[in-house]
Amino acid sequence: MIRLPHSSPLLFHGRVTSGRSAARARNAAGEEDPAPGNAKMLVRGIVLVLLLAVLWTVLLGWAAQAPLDTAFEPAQRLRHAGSDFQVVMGAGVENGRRLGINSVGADHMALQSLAMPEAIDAGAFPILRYRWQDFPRTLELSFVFRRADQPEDVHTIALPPAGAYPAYFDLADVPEWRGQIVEIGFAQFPTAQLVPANIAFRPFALVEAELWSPSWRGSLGALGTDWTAYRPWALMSVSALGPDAPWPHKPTPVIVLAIGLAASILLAAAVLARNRRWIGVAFCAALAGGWIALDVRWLGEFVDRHAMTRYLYAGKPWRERAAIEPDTSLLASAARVRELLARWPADAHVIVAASTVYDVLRLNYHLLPANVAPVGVLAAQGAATGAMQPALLVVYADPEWKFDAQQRTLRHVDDEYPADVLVDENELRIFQLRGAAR
Amino acid sequence: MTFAYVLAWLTPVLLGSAVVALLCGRPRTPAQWAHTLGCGFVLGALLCALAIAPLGRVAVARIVPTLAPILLPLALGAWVWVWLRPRASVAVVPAEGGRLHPLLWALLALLAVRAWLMMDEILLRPMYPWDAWAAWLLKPKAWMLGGHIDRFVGFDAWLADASGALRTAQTWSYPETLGRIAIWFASAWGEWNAAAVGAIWIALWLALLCGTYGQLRALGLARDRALVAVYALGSLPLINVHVALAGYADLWIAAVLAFACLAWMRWLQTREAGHLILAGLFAVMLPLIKLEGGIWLLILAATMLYERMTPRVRRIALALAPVIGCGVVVAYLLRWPLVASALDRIGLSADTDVLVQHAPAVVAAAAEGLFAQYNWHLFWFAVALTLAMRWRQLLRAPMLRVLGLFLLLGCAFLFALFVLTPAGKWAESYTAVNRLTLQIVPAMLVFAALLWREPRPTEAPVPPGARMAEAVPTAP
Repeated sequence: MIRLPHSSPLLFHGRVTSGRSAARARNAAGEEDPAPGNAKMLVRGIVLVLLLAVLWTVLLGWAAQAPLDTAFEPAQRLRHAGSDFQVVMGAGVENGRRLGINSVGADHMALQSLAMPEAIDAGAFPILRYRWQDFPRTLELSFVFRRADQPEDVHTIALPPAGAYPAYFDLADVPEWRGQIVEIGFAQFPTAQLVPANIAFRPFALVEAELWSPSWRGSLGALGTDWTAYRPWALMSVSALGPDAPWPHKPTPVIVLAIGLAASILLAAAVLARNRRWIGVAFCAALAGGWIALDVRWLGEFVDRHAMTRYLYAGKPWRERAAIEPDTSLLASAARVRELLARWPADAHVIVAASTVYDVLRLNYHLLPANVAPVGVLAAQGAATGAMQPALLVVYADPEWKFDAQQRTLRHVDDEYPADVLVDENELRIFQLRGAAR
Repeated sequence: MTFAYVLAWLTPVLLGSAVVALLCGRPRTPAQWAHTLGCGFVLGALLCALAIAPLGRVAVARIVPTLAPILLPLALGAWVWVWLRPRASVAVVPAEGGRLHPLLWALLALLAVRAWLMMDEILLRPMYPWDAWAAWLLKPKAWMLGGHIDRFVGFDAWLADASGALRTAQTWSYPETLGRIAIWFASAWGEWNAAAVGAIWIALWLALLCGTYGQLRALGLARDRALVAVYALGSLPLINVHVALAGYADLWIAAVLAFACLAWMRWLQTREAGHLILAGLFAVMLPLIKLEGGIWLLILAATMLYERMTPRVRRIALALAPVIGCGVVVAYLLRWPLVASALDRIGLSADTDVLVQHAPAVVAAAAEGLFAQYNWHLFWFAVALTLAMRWRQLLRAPMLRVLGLFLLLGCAFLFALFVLTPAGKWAESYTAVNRLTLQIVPAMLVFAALLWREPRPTEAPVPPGARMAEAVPTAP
């Protein structure tokens, strides 16, 4: 129980006691129960309910960015069954009105597209409604489209993955969704930096996709989808929850609840003429209720994220789990480097270079226990590496490192190192640096 | 699970709890046990990590077999001493109250559900978050797989080293305490296993909740309110993520900082030296965990010093500190020669015009992280509501005022870091603003929870209109 021994000057001053307590006081004094008081309370109650309904409608409308001048239902809908789409990458088969996707194509990606019979005005159809069957959580979903003014460019936007129910997405949040649209489609690929590409795919089906004209139903649907859609773990998750999901977002339930509950209490206090003590208790109760509601929502999201972890790793011994890493090709490259290192002294210096920091650090991690260092070692030294010991340089998918076979030198930007090639296979090159740089 | 792994868990728990019991007294109630074991595990893990340092380039297989036979008897001896020593006075044991309200059971159930989720996530998933494999757990993995505690050095030394006994990394200069805790458990497990290492983070979460509950109870918060506070702390989504995706140092800083503040509060309340020593122990651990721990130590030490000042000196400090602070900021922004060059030397060099232009975006991003994203539920609204409703309690309790001052200075540090330095880009990208905030969230929650204590008979109300500085003589 929360006790409020003192009221705060930061809160409203109580104006009058409530009708009910005033009536109680009069009864205690032997006065006749005034029916008009009850009637007044009833009126106040009705007014409050109406005001709260308006408040929450406006608040949800603001959060959903629902256009004020539209009806609840969309005036126009462009409906396309899954079978209307063509498979561009991967393999699929029509299953009645659905399009079943049975395998992925190059780079573990699948793509389905639909050339519009005639170009549509993007502004007239800002709501995308889509439904899938058995869409795997291991895949990321994207919406792709072409505009008439840039027919060569494919615009891509991440979508919340759809579960068992239709999902909505507000394309008005996408700046590129403008002009005349000539083609739409969906792409799927393994969730980046989370799921190994070789085990990400499971068959699924595109049931339908619709484009809606502006409507409250569509906007609220997009808000609901944003709040409830499955969000996989991401590297960003340890830094911020919300931005870790890759699609454009609406205001969160945190801010909507905070504003809504505070405004509701202040409205109720004003209409029912409650005092500061009541307001304080109401704020505490609302905060507790809101907190638990958000916590239950968070636990649901956590369960969803954890379900994917269980799908990937449950029931496997540690050594098998340790090999299930999202960067499959880096793991393979690390294994190849290790083969080479087996013929070298265990403490040989190994320097790792790649075009992205992520690749450098991951390869560095995978190569342990080799005496390994990121390429920053060399970058920090520049040309002044007089004391440098002979070392191996592992270059992963980085064409900026250029080898001159005649000069037997390796060049990167302005630095040049005497080197020999040991391995040159696809994305992986291994050089032996012969010592000081020139 | 091996005997060595069991020993690796027993040693920090027994060692740390023995130190806590020695300093704060033998636990008698469930709340006191929660405090002793919660704070004890964290302290014990840090002490075990420190104990590894003198071993030098030791074989990892020898770490626990070498240290446990020393540390465990010490811990057991301390416990025997705690149990047998005569007590000078009987501490006031807070009443535990009657049966728990069903709603509180529901809150505990919610905590239990997430504990299972986090544990299962840790046990299943290989090391996932970026800094876990790129920074904090890179060294212990290298040590474990290499078989020795090799020294990490700068790039120059590594490139020139012909012995092969030196290693380097992008984060070679980061404090190694967390890495040593990890190698303590990994070496006892016998191989590098992310689950065996990640389990430390769920233990840390449990220890944080237990330690906070025990200390809040000891500080006079009613049991039900303390449980609500513990639920609030344990349910914060970003804290849950830092447990489930184990490997970051921020939760360690958060727990150690909260325990330091709580022990300091106990000292302010009881003036028993043991609590101050415990607060000092936790505080000095801060820079050993992460570099910004040094800043928290500095701010905490300054606030503790402020609390010990005479009223006259306090008034001078209160008047001078904002003037000096604002002066430094203005001199920094206007690039005055002496101040600017000094700040440049410590890495705060920046184009201040650009910083000022970015300031609104940085503040907006920070506010979004605190109030509008999913990181903190309604925590920051709850803190604001608490301050609005319980400001009289704040006026009545001098110890809470100094804790509030520490948190205010901490928030000012974070504000200055993000708004006045190039670190603002980490706020705009959301990559650091919430993680750094996380470090003071448990201490902030403790502060807010203690404001919900019912007034103690000894805490006389301050007359209306009295300024805080003038209320100093009521400080214990």
